[in-house]
Amino acid sequence: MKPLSVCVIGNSHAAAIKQAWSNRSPGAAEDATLTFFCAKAQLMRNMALMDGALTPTEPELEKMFRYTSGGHDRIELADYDAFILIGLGFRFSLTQVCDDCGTQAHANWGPVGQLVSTACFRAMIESHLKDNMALQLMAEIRSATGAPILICPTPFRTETDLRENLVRRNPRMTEYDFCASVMDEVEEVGSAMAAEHKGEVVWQDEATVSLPGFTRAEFSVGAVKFSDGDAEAGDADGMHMNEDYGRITLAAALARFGVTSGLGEGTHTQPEAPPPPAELSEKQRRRTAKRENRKRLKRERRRA
Amino acid sequence: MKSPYTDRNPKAFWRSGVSEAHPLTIADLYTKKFEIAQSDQIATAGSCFAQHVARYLRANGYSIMDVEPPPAALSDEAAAKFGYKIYSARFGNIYTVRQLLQLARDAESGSASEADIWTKDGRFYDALRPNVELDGFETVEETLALRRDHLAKVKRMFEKMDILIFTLGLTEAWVDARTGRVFPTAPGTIAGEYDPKIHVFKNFGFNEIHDDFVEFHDLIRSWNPDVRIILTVSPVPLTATASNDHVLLATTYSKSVLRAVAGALAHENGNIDYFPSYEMIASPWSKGFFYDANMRSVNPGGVAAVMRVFFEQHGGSAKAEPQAAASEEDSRRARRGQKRKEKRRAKNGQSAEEEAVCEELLLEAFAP
Repeated sequence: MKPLSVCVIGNSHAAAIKQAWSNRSPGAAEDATLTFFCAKAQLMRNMALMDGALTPTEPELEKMFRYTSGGHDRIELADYDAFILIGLGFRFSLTQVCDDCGTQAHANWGPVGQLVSTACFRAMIESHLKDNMALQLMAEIRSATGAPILICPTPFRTETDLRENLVRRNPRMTEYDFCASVMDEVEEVGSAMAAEHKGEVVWQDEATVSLPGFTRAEFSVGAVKFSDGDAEAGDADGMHMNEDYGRITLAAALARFGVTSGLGEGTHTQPEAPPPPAELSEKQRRRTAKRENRKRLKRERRRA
Repeated sequence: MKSPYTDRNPKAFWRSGVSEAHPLTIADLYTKKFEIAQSDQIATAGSCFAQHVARYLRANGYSIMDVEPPPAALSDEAAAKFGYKIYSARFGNIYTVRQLLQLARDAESGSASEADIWTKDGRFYDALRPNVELDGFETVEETLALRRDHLAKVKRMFEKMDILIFTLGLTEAWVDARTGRVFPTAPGTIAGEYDPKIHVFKNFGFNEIHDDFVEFHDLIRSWNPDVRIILTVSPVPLTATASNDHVLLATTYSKSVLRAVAGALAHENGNIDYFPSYEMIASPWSKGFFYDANMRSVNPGGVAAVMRVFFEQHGGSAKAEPQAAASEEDSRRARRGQKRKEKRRAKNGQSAEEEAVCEELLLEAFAP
């Protein structure tokens, strides 16, 4: 059977995915081929849909496309069976949105500086998630093809983002149930936005999450990002993630296309809980994983 | 023979003051009663025309208070939908003086009542400002909590403001016969249900409006003795009247009474000024230039002409563009937003008045 031809379009966050793909074990994900089109976020804006192809309007982006894809100077949409959009501004920052602001329900987890209605809080989430290149590209690709399109959002900031002064000001930021309630709504709103273009969001895998909305710090150690087209390891900046993260994320995305990746588990220590049964729906699987993650966090806190 | 009119200024004569003057080059129409420093904290409230005044003042570097700013994560578009950045607090349009007095009394008590909640499709609406949450609140508790929070901020606004600019909009209102509470919109327009046994039409007269304002004035001066007030009368005619009169007669009554009250208050109080935006837009002198084809909506040229006269006295250049002090990125964003807005307006044939948040326009949907 012909392998699934997957087009991966992304900014610096695609580097972790690219590295996970390049370093996959022999024989892994044989039923898929991946072509990467990546560049820094500012450059990626210089692209337009022309004659069924996403075409760079700046020579520098064209150069990056050739480099990262292995010779293609544009993205011929008809050439691919599926699309994965990595990062590209589709992100949610719990600390930014909830800092000093919340609903009456949020006040149950600590004082709220600025009280907003539930509807307004939802609009804040919508405002935060919209107007990014990932959704724009999803719309453009959808206008030209019926192929499945996924967004892998920008990774959550690592838990180190929870600085002391922020936590002192907003103690609810460290409350699992508060973070989970916000992130559940974020997933609902974000998924609905993607569904408008008949696309899906591959929300960050629970294995990479500490408190909902925050990435476990170990995934930013040895983070990779693009530097002149090469995926390079750099210092942990709390935003970019490493190959282990890329492996988990890519496996989750390919699974949506029915591709059994076999990408391996990487060097990262997986959560102690066993993986949820495969027959569960995606929503049930995520919920179970969240529950297990919560238990794990509690255990870790007790130990600490 | 000498007449008492012999030495009067040309502005005192209709021919030289009006017939021979061009609406765009008017002179001597308004003389300020007091200075406004750019550092003065200015609060704005009133009917929808007041929104333009706030926008112009802000663009000209005046300190327009915003005691309920939008959350940083909310887009400008969504912020407007939720009643942010329209006035100095999220009270929506205050069409009548009774509404203004009621707000000040509520701010003083800080209490919110379930009796002021309307419902629609399982959602709950603050009947005293139904337009700030167009999709309503989730629960009664949320509605009351947000109202109490709002009132605390309004109280702070009344206490801290140096100047209040208030535009008197209407004499007509709907009152809850059980509680005496007055609403900004008729029940059944945005939410709630009209019940003729409960919801009573009220067309306020001169004495009632004057007395209400005096009571309001006394109350806020008890918190803020040095406050100064600028009154204007909205030149926007009524969308609809619930009186039995023709809408033109109802408009004339309403505007005449409001204009007379504003004049009386300015005459009686050294800290109250009257700014004649009503005359500039609605009198024969402007020959209808400043109204749109529907003879109701004020066009952007009209707002600009009014503000030019205001700034001739109070400094500023009547610009409605963002501040030079704003960052380059802010300016770019604002220009993009302005262009989008202009395009949208051109496409929809919208006037400046329609662009302002004006729930009164909803009444048009009920016209035969």
